[in-house]
Amino acid sequence: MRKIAVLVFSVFIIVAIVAPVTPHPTLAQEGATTWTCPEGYAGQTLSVYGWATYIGSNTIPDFEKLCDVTVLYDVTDGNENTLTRLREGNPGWDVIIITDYIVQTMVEQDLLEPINYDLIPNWANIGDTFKGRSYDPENTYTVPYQWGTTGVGYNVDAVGEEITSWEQVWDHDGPVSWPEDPRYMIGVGLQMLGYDPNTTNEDEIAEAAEYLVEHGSNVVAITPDDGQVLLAGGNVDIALEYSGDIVQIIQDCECDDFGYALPEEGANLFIDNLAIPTDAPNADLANVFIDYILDPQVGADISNEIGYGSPNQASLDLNLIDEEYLNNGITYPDEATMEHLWTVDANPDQEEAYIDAWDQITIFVGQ
Amino acid sequence: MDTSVASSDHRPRFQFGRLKLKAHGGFLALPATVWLFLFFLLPLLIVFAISFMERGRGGTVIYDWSPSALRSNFDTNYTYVTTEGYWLIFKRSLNIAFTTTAWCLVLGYPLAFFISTRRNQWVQKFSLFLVILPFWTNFVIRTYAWRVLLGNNDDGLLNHLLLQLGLIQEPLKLMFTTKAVTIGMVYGYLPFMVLPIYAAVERFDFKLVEAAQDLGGNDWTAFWRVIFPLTLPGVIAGSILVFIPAIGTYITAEMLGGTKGMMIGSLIYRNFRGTGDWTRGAATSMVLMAVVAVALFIYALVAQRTENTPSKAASHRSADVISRAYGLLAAMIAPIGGTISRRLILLSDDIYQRRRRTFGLNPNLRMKRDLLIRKTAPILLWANAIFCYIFLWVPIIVLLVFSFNNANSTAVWRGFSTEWYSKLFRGGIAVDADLTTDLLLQSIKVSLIVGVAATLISTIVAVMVSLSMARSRFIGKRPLEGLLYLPVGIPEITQGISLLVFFNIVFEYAAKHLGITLRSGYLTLILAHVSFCIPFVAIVVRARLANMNPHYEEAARDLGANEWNTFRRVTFPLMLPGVVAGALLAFTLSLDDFIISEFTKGLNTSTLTVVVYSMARRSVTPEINAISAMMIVVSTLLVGLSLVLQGRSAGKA
Amino acid sequence: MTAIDVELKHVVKEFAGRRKENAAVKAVDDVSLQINKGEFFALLGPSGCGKTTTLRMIAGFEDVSRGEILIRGKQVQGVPPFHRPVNTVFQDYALFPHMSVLQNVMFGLQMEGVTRTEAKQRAIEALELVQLPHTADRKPRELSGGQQQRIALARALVKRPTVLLLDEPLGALDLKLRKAMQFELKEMQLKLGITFIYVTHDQEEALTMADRIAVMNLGKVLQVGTPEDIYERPHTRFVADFIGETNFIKGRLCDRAGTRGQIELPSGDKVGAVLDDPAMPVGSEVTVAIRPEKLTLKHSSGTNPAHDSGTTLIPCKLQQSVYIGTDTRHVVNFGYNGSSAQLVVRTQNFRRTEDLSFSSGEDVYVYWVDENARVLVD
Repeated sequence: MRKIAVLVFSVFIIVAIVAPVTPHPTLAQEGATTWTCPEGYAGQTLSVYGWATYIGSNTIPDFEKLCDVTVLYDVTDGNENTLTRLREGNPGWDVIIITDYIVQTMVEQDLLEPINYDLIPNWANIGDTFKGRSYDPENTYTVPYQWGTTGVGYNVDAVGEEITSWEQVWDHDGPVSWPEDPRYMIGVGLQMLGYDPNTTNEDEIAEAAEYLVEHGSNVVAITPDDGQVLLAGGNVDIALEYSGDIVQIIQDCECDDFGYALPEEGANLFIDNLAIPTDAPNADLANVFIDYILDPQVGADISNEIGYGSPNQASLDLNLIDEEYLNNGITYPDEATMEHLWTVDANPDQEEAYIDAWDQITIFVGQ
Repeated sequence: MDTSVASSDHRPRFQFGRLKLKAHGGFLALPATVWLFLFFLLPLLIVFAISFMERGRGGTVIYDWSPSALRSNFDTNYTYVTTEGYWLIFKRSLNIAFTTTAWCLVLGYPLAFFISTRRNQWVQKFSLFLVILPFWTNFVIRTYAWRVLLGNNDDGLLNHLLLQLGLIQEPLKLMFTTKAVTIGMVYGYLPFMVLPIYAAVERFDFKLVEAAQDLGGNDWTAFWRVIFPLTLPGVIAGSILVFIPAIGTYITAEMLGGTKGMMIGSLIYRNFRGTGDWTRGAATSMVLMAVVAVALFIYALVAQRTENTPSKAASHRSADVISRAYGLLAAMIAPIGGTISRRLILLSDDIYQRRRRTFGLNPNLRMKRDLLIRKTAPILLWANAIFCYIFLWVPIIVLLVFSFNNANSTAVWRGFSTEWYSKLFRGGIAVDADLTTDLLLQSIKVSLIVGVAATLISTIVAVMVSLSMARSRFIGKRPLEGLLYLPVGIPEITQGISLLVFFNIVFEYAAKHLGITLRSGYLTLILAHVSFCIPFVAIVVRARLANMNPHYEEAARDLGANEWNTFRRVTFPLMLPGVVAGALLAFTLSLDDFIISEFTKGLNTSTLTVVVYSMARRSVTPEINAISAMMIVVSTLLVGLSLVLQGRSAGKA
Repeated sequence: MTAIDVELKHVVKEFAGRRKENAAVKAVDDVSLQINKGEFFALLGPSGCGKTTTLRMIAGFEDVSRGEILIRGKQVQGVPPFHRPVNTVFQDYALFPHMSVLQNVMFGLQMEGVTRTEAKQRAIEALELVQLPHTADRKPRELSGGQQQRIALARALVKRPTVLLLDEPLGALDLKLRKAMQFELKEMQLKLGITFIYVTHDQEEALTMADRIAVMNLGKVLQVGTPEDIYERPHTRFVADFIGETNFIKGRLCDRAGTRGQIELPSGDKVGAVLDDPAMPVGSEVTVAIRPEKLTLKHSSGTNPAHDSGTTLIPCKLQQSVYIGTDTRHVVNFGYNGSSAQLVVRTQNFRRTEDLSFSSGEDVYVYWVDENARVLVD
């Protein structure tokens, strides 16, 4: 036993010393950007906190090369996770990716720093639709990153029909997954009851929770952001998910097995944003990074890889976005569909009501 | 049973002269005491306090110490977490934890028995390693393998196999049920049951079986009346070691349970990491602790009865020490417990007699039955062992196979490829790494740094405290003993959230009053890991010390060695196997930990388990399989090598 | 004709060899025994001789490889230990550590389905038999070795077995206690009339207690007989050597008349001894065995004293005398012409008179009656 232990230990220690070598990224050959890095950042470090599979695989290595900096990218569980961790004190992030509805809450709690537009000449590239939204009217704290919809991803064979209504989702005789996204799901419930998806009426919120529990008997899992994996693996027939995630699995399987629907009663549109949290160790470089992301080519590369909508009008104007996304009917919904999409507003006063409702939903749904 | 403690009990309690002489030994216990107080007990007390506070706007905590506020917040918080929804999940968690413990016992006891009764010691060692080896791969990855196996449609390998064999017509609904969680947990915790029972059976004197048979007990009676009672300490230790982590499970339930299999760990996690409500999360943790305490209290009562066994086996200690921590309570009603257990024995005897009389009449029939037992028992033992080995190894094999998958999938086979290995290799030697590879490699580095540091520190601290406990007497030794072992009896998730809360408060204070910005990172990770490793290392080291003949040390002193030389030349070499075993245990625990790391990690210091978990939830690629495959190959080679080396040296001797 | 309780017919026990090239090891090799009802029968031999294996086969813990065992005339092949009417007192007692003394003793009765009250009563009786009723509620480890031994005995006897098997039961006790227990065991056996099969490596123990002894070596039974038979008339050199102290003298058979033989020693001296094998041809190389206490020392008066026929007298040189209380032990060299052999002579110290005191280096004669010396097969 002693010998084994000594052996195991020495190997682990050797590995610990030898294994971790910082990779030196090379600049990708295709779609090279013309963006140039301002002087004076060489050798610095930037820390980014965002979703997994939510950035281009070359985006960060290229930036590291262009500015001669080191970028650390860490993965979040979701907006609520980012919020709670910021509340505990910024662990050292310079840039975070957050969804529209959480912005006001963070602003109210002094968790975000204003953007320095002097460092972001590429701000002009953002389409007007995405500027000055209600969650941040002056874009003081946020810059749009990607946008998408939250809808119904489904297995065409298992469902057997085209999904056009939420009722089909509720009535489906087979496993369904919901996302761990309280405001979105409760919003759907409110909308089905004929209320405002952003209601401030606590009774309505409670009623929506009851509605969801009642109609969620076929729910087998409430998952943080991996419904598409369950759908692709055949563990659920329907996954309420973000548009880009469903696009990703459709691309991966190269088949017609999966469909994506935005039901006619209405669905959610979200805008994810880049923001700089309070106490960011390197806010200047963070602004430079945001400018880099807003470059038409860089932005297009990201959207082309992860399958979400680009708020970068310049990318669209320069035809840098792949045709398949423009025409797949998912990433960029038609005008008519866009009509009945709603966004989630920040509602800090009702946060507790939403939390309590979600608490009850997660416990009782699908039992 | 602990000789040192037992023998010290025979001495008078207060000997002031002796106390003075030996008091300096108490200082050796200081680091462990301070450490556990700061990074275990104090955080726990803070969580306890928070469970009496009011939830503030935006997930903050409003501190109000007025009795009326405490009273009403207590009502609000505890009523919420002990009614309807939460209580439902509590009941389910208890149910799953008991079921898991029961299955671990049903499968694990015969398996441990099988292993420890192999005559050839190499076969015995090999069978034991077959049980342990799967556990040197990452816990999350193993659980993920079950997701692949238990898939609901015919993509799920188990369903696929059963459908192909024609055993079922429709795919079974396994995934996202409590069944799936139980399977995953039995899989995860089986070795915790097997190891202590193995140790107990191995030390069992089989002469006693002959004695029982000689006196007319058949094989079953010999087992039930003699072997089982005498290996009961192992069973109790195993049950505790399974039950406590099982009831606080987070990962297994999250990955396999879905809505139907959600457990209390997920609710606590959500309250601290998701929606964010500390007061509710704190109250839930406290109720969880209370539930565990009640369960342990019952165990302690049973343990009290079995404590009188003469064996001083190391494994027995863990049962003993945990029950000791809770035993203070149990001791108060021990007389009642004793009466109850005596009654139970009488009752079981009576039932036995009655059964015996009803079908014990025909000696011919009895003989036939007894011979049948004799013939079938080994067959059943083998069958169980084979089943267990398949059960333990199938996920690993699935994992290995898919590490060669020529597709970005860990569930559907698309041809052979070594792509994932070369990807890792490329990343490892710094030519080209994409984000995933980068994250994985970084996390391996973090895990190794934290693991090695936590192992070293906790081993040193634990050795010091063990020596002090074994060889000195000082004021506060008994409470320290409780403090030392209590962490073993607290669910990991409770420890995790209490450290989160604690570090938070410390950081806030430092920022506000000292103007220092502190952040979570390596330091918080290592502090946390050390605090949960200390008790485990101490258990192992103390067991070794307890089995060590004190005469060796006396002999050394007699021959003129001073305290230091005695330690260096005699005590330490003798206790070294225990120290190494403890260190190895600490390292394994540290590598496998998810929940405490999740709550104490900082920027870019996610451990391998944390990263693998977040990947497993989203974009699992066979790269993870490749990493685990390499880990298991390396550990297998090491074990094989050491077996060969041991075989050589044994052959020479 | 007394009834036979246990009978072994050509019993062989083989254990598989450790390595492939080694053939199976015969632990017990063609053993046949008949043990009578009510007999105190000892299996005596050095460790590893197969005596414990033989006992374990009777108890049912080991299967017989060949041959058969009968208990009370019934074949017991395949009958598990718990269905055999025999009970064992184990070498280290094997008392159940988790049960009290009373529970230990009751265990066997409960296995028979005896009611709790009756079992308890009988167990207490058994404890009274071994004079330890006051220990009933204690745990075995709280008892001394001797007490544990008695409890083990009580536990086995309470079952009223046909045959009681005892596997070196006194091995762990100190000398004085062992002596006391020997006596007690014998008493108890006489009182209860149960057949005892007693395994021991201690020849004195066997001689003291047993009605008959089987001496075993290397898996074989060398000789079965009463203690007197075994001691006085050993058939083989091994038996003679193992039991008690024996002098061996090598020589050549030069003459014989019936059961009397004359053996010529290398020194030229001729000695007389009893021949067991009447067919042994003159001229064979033989060994003469004679016990030290059968020898007598005589002062040498310079000349070779005459002696009666049927006795032997050979000249020796006294090397050493050691006084050991009841006896004096003399070591003498004989055979002057370089071929020195040693003999041990024991003389009882019933009186210490001048004519019986010898001094070292003195020339002496060793004298014995030929009937007491035996010619052995090697």
